[in-house]
Amino acid sequence: MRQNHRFALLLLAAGPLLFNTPAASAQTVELVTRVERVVDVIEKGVKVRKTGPPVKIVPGDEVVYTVAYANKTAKPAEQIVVTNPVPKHTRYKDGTAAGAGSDIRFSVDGGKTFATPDKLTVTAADKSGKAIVRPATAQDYTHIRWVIKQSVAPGQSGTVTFHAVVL
Amino acid sequence: MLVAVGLSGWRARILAVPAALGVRVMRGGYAVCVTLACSFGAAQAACPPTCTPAGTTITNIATVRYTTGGTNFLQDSSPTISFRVDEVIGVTVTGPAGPTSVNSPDTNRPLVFTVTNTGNAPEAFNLIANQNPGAPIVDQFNPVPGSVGLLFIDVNRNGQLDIGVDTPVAGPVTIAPSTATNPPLQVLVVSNIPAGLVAGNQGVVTLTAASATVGAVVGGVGAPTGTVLPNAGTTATGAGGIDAIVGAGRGGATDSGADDTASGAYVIGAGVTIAKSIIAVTSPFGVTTTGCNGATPPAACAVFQPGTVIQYQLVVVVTGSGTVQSVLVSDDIPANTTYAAGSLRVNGVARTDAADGDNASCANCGSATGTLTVNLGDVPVTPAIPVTHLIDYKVSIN
Repeated sequence: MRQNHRFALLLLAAGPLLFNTPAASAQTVELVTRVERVVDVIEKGVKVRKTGPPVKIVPGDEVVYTVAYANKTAKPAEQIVVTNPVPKHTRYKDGTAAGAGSDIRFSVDGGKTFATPDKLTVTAADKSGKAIVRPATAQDYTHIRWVIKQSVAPGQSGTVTFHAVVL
Repeated sequence: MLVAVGLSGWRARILAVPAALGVRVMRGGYAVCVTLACSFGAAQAACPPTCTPAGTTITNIATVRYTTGGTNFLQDSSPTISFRVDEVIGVTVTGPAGPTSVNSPDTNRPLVFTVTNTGNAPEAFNLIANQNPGAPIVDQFNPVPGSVGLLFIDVNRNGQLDIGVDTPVAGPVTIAPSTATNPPLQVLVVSNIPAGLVAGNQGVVTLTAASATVGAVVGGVGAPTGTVLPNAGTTATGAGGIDAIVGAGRGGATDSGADDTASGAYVIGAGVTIAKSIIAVTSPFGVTTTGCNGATPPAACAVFQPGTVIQYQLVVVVTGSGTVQSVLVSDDIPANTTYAAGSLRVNGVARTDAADGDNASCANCGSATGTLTVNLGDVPVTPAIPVTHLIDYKVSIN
């Protein structure tokens, strides 16, 4: 019994170290995401883009994801990299990824590698079944990554966003 | 309707002019589209080719990696957020590409329509056939419901009406979203055709598919695109509890996807064929050889030299039903021959060459550019009993 206890304690202590994942109570760079529906409304005869709650969404509708990061640690957080997959059943809307003070990269291989759009290619079979390499398009993106260029001081925060279209 | 018949070495043509009263129904065998409801070409789907099924939950988790000093990188992830995809209602109807040739009278003739659920969940649609659609559709007769019924689902998808296989439509029909493995529904509008109609006459019918979801189509009018029908949606698996939203129709954002209409047409069939042959040759020495049109023509038939007289025959066969109107036959005198004045006969009866009271004439027939014309007028035809007219004339080789 006594040995078992010690083993359990060891596991608890080892957890964060093994997986580099702060426990829930630990201070961390906290992420909170939000999704809203993008709608066009006519106001005084002018079409205006607005966002609203993510309800009454059907294929073809556009949503905007906002990822907020906040440094809840006591030290400056450096080399922050935020990664968001393009959610299943959606496609990334070209040109919509944004984030102040960040370099934006995309992945076309499920998040294994990231690069700027001009360096991304995909291999696809042509009509004869021959594999051809072509430049990637927004539909090919599987993940979006924001590399935050500056360190973020304790208590400071920022946001990154992108739009997706429901397939 | 214009029938041009080409024969090797000769020119012969025939014109059958449809009734003059507002008929603009046939042009090269295709219906002239007289309404927005006409549908040619691919229908624009409300959904992309792969549409997220209604009821699907779309989730998202973001991750972060950072360091607070050194090379010990830490990572964390956001709480999961999600939203649900509601049902979008969309339907397109397409009709046959051209009119279907029928007899007058005729029974149980199907027109094939295609009804496509462009939404993202199974949806029930009311199917409404209209055999007298009225303005702006212009037609000449109204078909009536077929003796066996008006609307059938073409179960075996062969475009034919197969009683016992194809099922009569009774009430709303639930159609799954179209996929590669789930093709659109084929619907047959089955009509009887009244007697006594004129060849070329056209009868237009329309088929409307209207969503049966309460509120989607009210009083025959589709709710505007974007209309939300709270709690009226069904998921892809048929469960309820989600909202239904009226999608855009194939006419664009202002065209509701809650319903769609396409037209198809019947046309009273007519066929006119013409064949030209040499039936007799008379040598310059006055020896006439007949039977030149047989399977083994006598050798004398091939004796062609200046002064030889050739007797041509045109065989005009009119088929179909009803009345084929204004059948006009014309034939140019062959080059290097001279028309034998007064030799024109219709059904064995001589006609004068002048444009006068009889139905045949030969214009410029003294010259090299002569043209014979025979106006057979309106030709009544009984189905399956073709009407044949024989025209013959003589020329001499220059």
